[in-house]
Amino acid sequence: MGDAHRYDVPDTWPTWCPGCGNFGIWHAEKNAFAHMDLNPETTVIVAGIGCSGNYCYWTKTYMLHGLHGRPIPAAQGVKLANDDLTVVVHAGDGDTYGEGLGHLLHAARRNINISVFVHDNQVYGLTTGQPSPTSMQGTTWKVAPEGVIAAPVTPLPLALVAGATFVARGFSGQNEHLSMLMERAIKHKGFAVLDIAQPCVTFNRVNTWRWWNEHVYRLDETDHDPSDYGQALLKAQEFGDKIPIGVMYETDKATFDDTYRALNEQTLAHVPIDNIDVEPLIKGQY
Amino acid sequence: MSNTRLNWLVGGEAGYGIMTVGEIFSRAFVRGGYYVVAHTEYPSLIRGGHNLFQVRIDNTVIRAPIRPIDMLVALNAETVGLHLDRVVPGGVVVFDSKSFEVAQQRDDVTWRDVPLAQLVKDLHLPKVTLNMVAMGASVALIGYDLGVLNDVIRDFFKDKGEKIVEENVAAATAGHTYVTQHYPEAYKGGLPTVGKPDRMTLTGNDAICMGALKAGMKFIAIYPMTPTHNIITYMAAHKADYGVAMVQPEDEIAGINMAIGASYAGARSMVATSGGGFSLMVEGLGLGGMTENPLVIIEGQRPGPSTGLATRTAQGDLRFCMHASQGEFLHVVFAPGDPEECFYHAFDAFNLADKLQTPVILMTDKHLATSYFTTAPFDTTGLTIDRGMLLTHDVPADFDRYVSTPSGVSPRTIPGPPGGIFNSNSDEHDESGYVSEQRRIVATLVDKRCAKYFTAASMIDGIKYYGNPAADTILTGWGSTKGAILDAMDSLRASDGADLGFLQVLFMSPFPSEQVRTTLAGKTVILVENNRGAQLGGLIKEHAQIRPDHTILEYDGRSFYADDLARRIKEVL
Repeated sequence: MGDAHRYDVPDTWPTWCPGCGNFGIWHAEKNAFAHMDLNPETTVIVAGIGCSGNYCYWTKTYMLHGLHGRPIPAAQGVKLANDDLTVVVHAGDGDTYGEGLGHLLHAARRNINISVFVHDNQVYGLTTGQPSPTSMQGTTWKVAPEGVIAAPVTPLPLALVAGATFVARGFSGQNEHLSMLMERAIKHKGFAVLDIAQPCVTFNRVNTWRWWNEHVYRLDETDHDPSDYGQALLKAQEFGDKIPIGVMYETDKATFDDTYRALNEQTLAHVPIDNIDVEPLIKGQY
Repeated sequence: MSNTRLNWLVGGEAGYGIMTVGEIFSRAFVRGGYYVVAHTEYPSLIRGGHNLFQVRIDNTVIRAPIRPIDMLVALNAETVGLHLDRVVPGGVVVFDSKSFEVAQQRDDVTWRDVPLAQLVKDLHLPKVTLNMVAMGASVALIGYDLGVLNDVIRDFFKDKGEKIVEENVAAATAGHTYVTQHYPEAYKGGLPTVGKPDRMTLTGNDAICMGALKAGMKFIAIYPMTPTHNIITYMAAHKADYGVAMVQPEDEIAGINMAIGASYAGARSMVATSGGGFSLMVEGLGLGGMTENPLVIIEGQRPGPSTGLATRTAQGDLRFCMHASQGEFLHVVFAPGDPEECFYHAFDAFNLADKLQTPVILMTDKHLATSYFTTAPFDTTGLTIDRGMLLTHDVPADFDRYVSTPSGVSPRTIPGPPGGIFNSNSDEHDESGYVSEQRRIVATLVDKRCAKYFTAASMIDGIKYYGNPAADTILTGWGSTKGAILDAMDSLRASDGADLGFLQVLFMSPFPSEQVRTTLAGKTVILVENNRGAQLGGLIKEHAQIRPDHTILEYDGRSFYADDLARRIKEVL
C-alpha cells in the first residue's frame, strides 16, 4: 500500500464547488492507485471536457486533456502505442453518452484494455445547467421548463451489449466501495466501464446526495452473479426506486491490444526506427 | 521502323477487372524499358457504370496523361461511343462483335474484332479474366513481347496460388494467339522491348506508404475514403513485416484522436482521408496544435463540397487545409507533385512533425494518389530519423513541457521516464501544462505556438524551379498538376521552341513568400490549377504581391491532359 498523497499535485486545489461529487471520485481513485502502488510515470489519465475533465489537473500522473467526447479514442491510441501503460479515461456523461457514445460502443467491441470512469451527474455543469443524456425523463430545468422529453441513455446495458468485459456502477458517496470498484476496473484485463453516480450540488436539484443515498443498494450484498450475462443485463437496466451499485458483469476475453503486442517484441512507442529497410518494398514495385 | 510510343485505353463496365489492368499493363511496359502514366476514371459504383484505364507508354520520360488514343479496347459498346472521337487517324479500335454491336462510324481507324468473351468461355475461365484476354490481344496488336506481360501477371497473382496464375496467363495467351493468327500486322511496326531497367511503377499512395514505413510510422488509423482507401490495402499487406498497428476506427474523429493518443505515447502516427473525413478531423487537428503533439495527416483531395465526386480529382481543398480549426497556430501544409516527392516528403513529414511538435498535412489528390507513374528506385541513403526535442531518458529536474523558446519548440517527454510527468493540455495552459487564463501566460503560449511558423519556414525549401531561369514566361502550380505542366513544357519546346519556366510551390504553409516573389517578379505568370478558385493564385497575391497574368483552371473532376494544357498555354502565349 503506497501513499495516496503521492498523486497530489503540489500547490493546487480543485475548483469544484464545495460538496461536489467529484471530490469523492478524486479521493477514491487516489486511494485505489495507492492501494495498487501504481507508478504515476507509467499511468496515463485521458480526460474529456467539463468538471469531470478538469479532474486531470489535480492528480499527478501523465495526463492527456483531450477534446469533449473524444477521450476514449485518444486513450485507445495511447494504449496501442504502449501497452505497458495503465490507461484510465475520466469523462462526463455529456462526453461519454452524448458527444462520444459511438466511441464507447466501438471501444467496447474492441475490448481494448483501458478503464473508463464516467462522472455521471446527469447535467451539463460547466455550461450552467442544461439537461444531459442521462437526465431523467420529465425532470424540469431552467432551459427545459416543460421537462425532459426524451428517455435517458442507458449506458450500462449499451456497454454490455456492445461487448464491454467489465461493467459496473459506483457512487461517489460510498467512497471505499468506489475505490474498490476502480481498482477492480483497472486490474481487469479488457475494456472496463465504470459509471459513477455523482451529485452536481449546484445544478442538479433532483439527483442530490440524499436522493442517491435513498436509491442505491450494493450488489455484493445480494446474490448477484457478475459472471452471469443475463443477470447482468437485468441489473444494468435497473434504475428506478432502487439502483444497484457494484460489479454487474465481468468476463475474460482476448483483448485488442494483445494482437498488436504480438507484432513487436517492444511496444510501438519504443521500437527502434533508425534503420528500417524498405528495399524490399522498392523492389516490389519493379 | 518500329514505334516508340502508344496511348492505350480500355473501357467497360465495372466487374471486368479493369482496375487491375492499370498496374499489370503498366508494369509490363516499364519492365521492357518504357515509361508509363496510367490513370483510371470510374464512377462511384461497384458494378456497372463506365470504368476506364488509360495507359500512356513512351520511350522517354512522361509524367501525365494525354487525350489522343492510339488503341481503344472496348469491352462494351458504350466505350466506343464515349471515346471514339479521341482515337487518332490510323488508330485501332478493338471490339467484340459476338458480345455487343458497334456501328463502325469511322473509316480512318482500323477496327479489330476480337471475340474476347468467347475466348474466355472456350477456355472455361472465370469472367474476370476477360481483362487478361484484352491485354494479351492488345500486346499482340501493339507488337510487344507477350513473355514480359505473362511474367508480370505471374508476379501479380503469385500469392493467390498456381491455379489463378495459370488461368490468367492462359487468358492473356489466348488473346495474344487469336490476334497473331487473325491480325498479324503490328500497329506502327511494333513496340519492341528496349531494355530491362530497374524502374518502379507505383501510385502516389504507394509512395506515401513507403515513405511512412521508412520513417518508422508505427500507428495508423484510417477510415476508408476514396482516394486514400488503398493506403489501407498497402499497409495491410506490409504491417506485419514492419510492426505497424493499423486501426480502422469508427469514424475520422476517432481516427485522429487515436493517432494523437498514440503520438503522445511516443509512436510515430498517421491518418489518411479525403476532404470529407478531414472535415471531421478538424477539431482533432486543433487538439494536435494546442497540445503540440506530432502527427502526419494525408489529405487526398477529391471534388467537393460534401460528397461531391467521390472517385474524381480536384485541388479544391488548399485553403481549407491551411486554415482548418478554430484559433491560431502553425499549420504545416505541403503538396508533393509526383510519387518521388510523395516518398521523400512523407518521410520528411514525420521528421518535421517531430521537430515542430505539431500536425503536418500532406496533400495529394485522386490523380496523384491513384494513378501509376514510372519512377527511378528511391534512394534511401541519407534518410535520417530526427525526433527533435524528444526526451526519452534523463529528464532534467526543472522540466517544463511547454517552456517558451525562441523556436517555439520545447522538450517533450512521453510516459515512462522519471520526472517527465506533464499534462498534454487542450485547455490554454502555462509552461508546465497546467491550466491558465492569466493574460501574460496566454499571450506567451500563443506566441510560442505561432513562433513555430518561422521555425518551420527556416527548415524547408518551399519551391522547385524547372526550365530556363531566365525565361520571360513562368508557369506556376502545385501538387499533381506538375506532371501535365512539365509534359506541356516539353511539347511546347519541341513544337514551338517555347522557352518556359515552371515554379512548383511545394510548401503551401509556411508559404515561401520571398522565393515566390523573387522568381515571379517581372515575369509573365501563367497559373495552372485543378480548381475553380485559383487558390494558389490567391496565396501568391497575398504573400508575394504578384497577380498572375493568365489563369488556366480545370474543375470538371478530371486532371489536365498534357496536350490540352499545352494548347491552352499556347493560346495565352
